[in-house]
Amino acid sequence: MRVSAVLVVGFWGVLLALLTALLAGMGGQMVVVVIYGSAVAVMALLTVAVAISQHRAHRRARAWRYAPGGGTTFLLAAGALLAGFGLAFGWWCTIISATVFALACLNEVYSLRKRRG
Amino acid sequence: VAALARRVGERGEQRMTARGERAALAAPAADRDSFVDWLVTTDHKRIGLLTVGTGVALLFVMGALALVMRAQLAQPDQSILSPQQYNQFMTMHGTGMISLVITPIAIGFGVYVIPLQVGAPMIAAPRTALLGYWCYVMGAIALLWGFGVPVGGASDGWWSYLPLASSRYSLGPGEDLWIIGTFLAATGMILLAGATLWTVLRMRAPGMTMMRLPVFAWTMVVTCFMVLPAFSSELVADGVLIAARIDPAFVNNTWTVAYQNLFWFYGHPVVYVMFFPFVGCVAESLATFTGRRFFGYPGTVLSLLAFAALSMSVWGHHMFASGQSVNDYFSLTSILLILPAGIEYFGMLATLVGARLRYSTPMLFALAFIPQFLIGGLSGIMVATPSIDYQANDSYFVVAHFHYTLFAGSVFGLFAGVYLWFPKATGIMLSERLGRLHFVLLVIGTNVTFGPMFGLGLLGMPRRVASYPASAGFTTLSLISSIGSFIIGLAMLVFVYNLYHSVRRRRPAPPNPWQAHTLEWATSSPPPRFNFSAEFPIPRITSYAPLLDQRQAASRRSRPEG
Repeated sequence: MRVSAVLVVGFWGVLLALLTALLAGMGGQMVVVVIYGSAVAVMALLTVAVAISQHRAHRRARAWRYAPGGGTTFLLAAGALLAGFGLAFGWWCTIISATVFALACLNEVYSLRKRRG
Repeated sequence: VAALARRVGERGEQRMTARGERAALAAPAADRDSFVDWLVTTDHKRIGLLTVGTGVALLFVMGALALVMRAQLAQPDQSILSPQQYNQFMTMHGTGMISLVITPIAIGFGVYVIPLQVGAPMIAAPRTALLGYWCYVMGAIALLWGFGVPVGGASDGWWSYLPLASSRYSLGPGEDLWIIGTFLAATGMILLAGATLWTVLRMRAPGMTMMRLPVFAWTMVVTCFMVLPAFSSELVADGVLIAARIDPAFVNNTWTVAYQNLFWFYGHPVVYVMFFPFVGCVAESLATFTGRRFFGYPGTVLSLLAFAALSMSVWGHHMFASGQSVNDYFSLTSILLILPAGIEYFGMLATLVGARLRYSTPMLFALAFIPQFLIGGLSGIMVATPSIDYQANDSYFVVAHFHYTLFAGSVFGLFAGVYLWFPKATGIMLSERLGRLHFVLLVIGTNVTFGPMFGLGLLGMPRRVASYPASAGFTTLSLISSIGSFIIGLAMLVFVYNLYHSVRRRRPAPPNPWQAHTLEWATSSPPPRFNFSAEFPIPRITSYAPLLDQRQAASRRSRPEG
């Protein structure tokens, strides 16, 4: 039996939709149905994304690209932590985190230029 | 139609080969091995190992907190910890074990194994996966930082209900750090799961159709399906908490109930995120050490999909006693879970029946998983009935139930996976003798710790208490439980010694030391940078057990005809 990835994602989304409908039918409050419905929406988006990706792959083959080292990702995560610290220790932490995000951008630009030679 | 399908397949094969060659041309043959190179790696194997390694290290931190709590509860009226400190330890143990230990290890297994199992040279979006790892690490730093601030860490449980968690009732930055930690850890898991899911859906090798995915890969598919919406709900719940921290007047009844729903829409599926990948580890171990295919593959795949959908639909059973949940619906869906779980159990047992078993360490952990998780699962069905839940709610019965599912179940599946794939990941065999000692101590410790908790719950011992009076009648069972927890601690030390001893001794692992069936065992141990090479090519994929197919075909050829 041929089962495509789109079918699997879509099938699971439909299962969630049926269970959401059952919840609404059995008297679920609006907030509960909206929360569950958002999961159905996420799966619908994923189904569309997989379908588009499959369609594009049929039309045009793309080489897998080697991903170089990810120093920028460390800076982004550290920036996010520092930004979050604003909630705990004062908003000056969040302001300082802008420096780290800027550093991440510079690092990315630098590594792009280095890769291009 | 068949000819057309063949032509499409051939075209796909050519395209995939061209992609692999181009990827290899554009990249260095191997990543460098310095410490910094590991931390900025885009190799899924290293990201997976970093995630699992960080999770195991934090397992010891969170386990140490549990041992202190068990020491406190070993005798009545003890004061090793103050009530406030006990609450902090309990909150950090719960949050840490879920957000920083078992979930990341489960997803880390997927990051390591999935590209190998589906025959992909790398993970989809490797830098996104690395960002996921770093978000997780930053989340762990934020959570643990709580112990370093003057009033201590968060102390209102791993659910952080409102209005208790608002800045009116939880003073100091501990709760804020908890919010930041859980937010970053959840973000990290979404990124890691998204990359893993896309690898399965869009980067499979030619011939690796969806219905030829190994059972572990299917368990990761359903896990990632759950992570995307459920963990997003956690992010929204954290947003509600942030609003309540900034302005306590924000908290009203509507937001309190909405927060509970948002939280449990994450809080229950995460239990299955911590379960499905380890079912996959157990299934792979059972199939490998019986020398058979996993029984009832299509039924297992369907049941996994149904199981995952149902497990997204049961969160309200955590709110039965609140009076704010549709009890009929959530009780129905919770009890329905027994159907797909039963199909999976049937598959596991049918794989075992009549087989010649090899009792290697991964198999021992897989075998212990079956009855132990059953105890956790069946006690879960009991408390899924509102009338029983009203009695058992907030008692040690519930503590026993979820520790049987998460520790006696998931952690045993976790160790089955660790012992199964350690030789593949490192090229070193672990000591079987020490592995068996670890297993025996862990089985004894687990059941001595968590078994008496059912009794304590039935005697009426409430959960989340820092102490109890001698007259309550909880002393004997509490003491037994505490002794058991230290046996678990001993078992974990044996595991650490096994790692140390095996790495020092360095008994090299062949590519397929267990005679396993799936693609990761077709490559070298450890695998090359792009997983497969000219020396270790991807074999022809004819089913969900391609290496078993090869061995069976070879044995048919070698058999004399007539």
